Amino acid sequence: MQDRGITLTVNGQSHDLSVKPSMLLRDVLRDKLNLTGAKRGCDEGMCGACTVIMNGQAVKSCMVLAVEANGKNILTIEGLAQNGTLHPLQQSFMDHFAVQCGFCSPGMILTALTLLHDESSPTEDEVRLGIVGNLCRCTGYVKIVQAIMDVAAGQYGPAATPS
Amino acid sequence: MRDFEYFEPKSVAEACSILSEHEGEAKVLAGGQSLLVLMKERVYSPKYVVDLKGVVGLDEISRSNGQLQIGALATHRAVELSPLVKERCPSLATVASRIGALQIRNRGTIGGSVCHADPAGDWAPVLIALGAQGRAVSSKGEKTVSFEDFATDYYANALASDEILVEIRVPAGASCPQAAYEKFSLREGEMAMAGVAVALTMEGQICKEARVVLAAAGPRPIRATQAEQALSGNTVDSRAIAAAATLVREVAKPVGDIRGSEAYKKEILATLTKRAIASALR
Repeated sequence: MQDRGITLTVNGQSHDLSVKPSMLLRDVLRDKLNLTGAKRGCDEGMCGACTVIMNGQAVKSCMVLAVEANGKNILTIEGLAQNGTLHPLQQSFMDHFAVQCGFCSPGMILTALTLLHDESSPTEDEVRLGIVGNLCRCTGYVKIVQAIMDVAAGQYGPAATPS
Repeated sequence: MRDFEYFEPKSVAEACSILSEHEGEAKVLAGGQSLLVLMKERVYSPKYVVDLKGVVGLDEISRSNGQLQIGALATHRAVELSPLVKERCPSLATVASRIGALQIRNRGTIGGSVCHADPAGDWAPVLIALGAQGRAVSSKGEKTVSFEDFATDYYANALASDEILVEIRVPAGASCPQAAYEKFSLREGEMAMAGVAVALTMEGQICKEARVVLAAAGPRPIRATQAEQALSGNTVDSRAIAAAATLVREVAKPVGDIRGSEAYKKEILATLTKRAIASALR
């Protein structure tokens, strides 16, 4: 089985990589690009800790083969802060204590980013439904939802949309 | 996941030819949200994986002749958001919106879901209830498939090994029945542990035709024909609804498991039947 050449643009940088077809996008990000924000959680598409944004859409990187991501634009949590300034969602999560152990947080924040891109004024129910694919074992979700709602309400200025 | 050789055909014909050449050792990859899990678990370890996403045009949603034509590679998210679907057969958009979670919907496809034939899958019972048909292509030509007999067993479908489902056609606009799908899972976003799809063709207060199709009640979606007969030709009043729910309980054969006993699941199915009928009528 031969390796395949792929090109991924990750956080604005282009990378030419050689991968086995069976390699997951998550593992390419973590092991070849040292972007360990996308976590290995359940490895079966349920927990969302591996969530990244691919061509503007939240996807579970453990459920995408690296070869399927060829030619695509990927945004990981490492690409959110700009010149040391946290993204409004990151700041809001900190302010609301929406981060405890932090394992779900990268995926949760990226999902929230796409939610706010698709719907700038979501209801609380829409936020709760929107984060169904991101499990948190620590917080009980209340602070997470508040953090997202406050960003949506404009309390952190305009939220950047994913590229 | 065991290693495999990966193909990205640019046409359906090319895909069929690869499937034919590697008969029995190849799997089709659409969104991958079902297949990749089973490959990780080594339930499937195909030597060859044929990714259909490189074939242009398989994900289009359009209409023609009073039907909605949904490409098999249309993602659940695309169906959920499609203005055409919301206008011509809105129950499809609602069903799509509650499949799994956002991330799953961004990748998983309607064709992949139906072909994967998980008895708890949401699309199959809905498509059966709506009287949808599919278009399948192989190197021998094209054929129309009904979704009623599409799933043959757990995770098995009626397609030949080199046959690909390319399109799903749903009656649209005035010919789209009033339909609803109610499902229950222990947590939001999980596969249904019971599901009921109802489609009613109403003439005033009378139901001309009813379809009641159960998910997660057996190895394949079950058409509860006796429940349908309790509704067809009648006013859909509380007596008819209760009768339909009782008949659903009788025909369902759910397997007791960690999500619930057989008896519990039958009760849920009966309740979902009542809710789906009420929803369809709204």
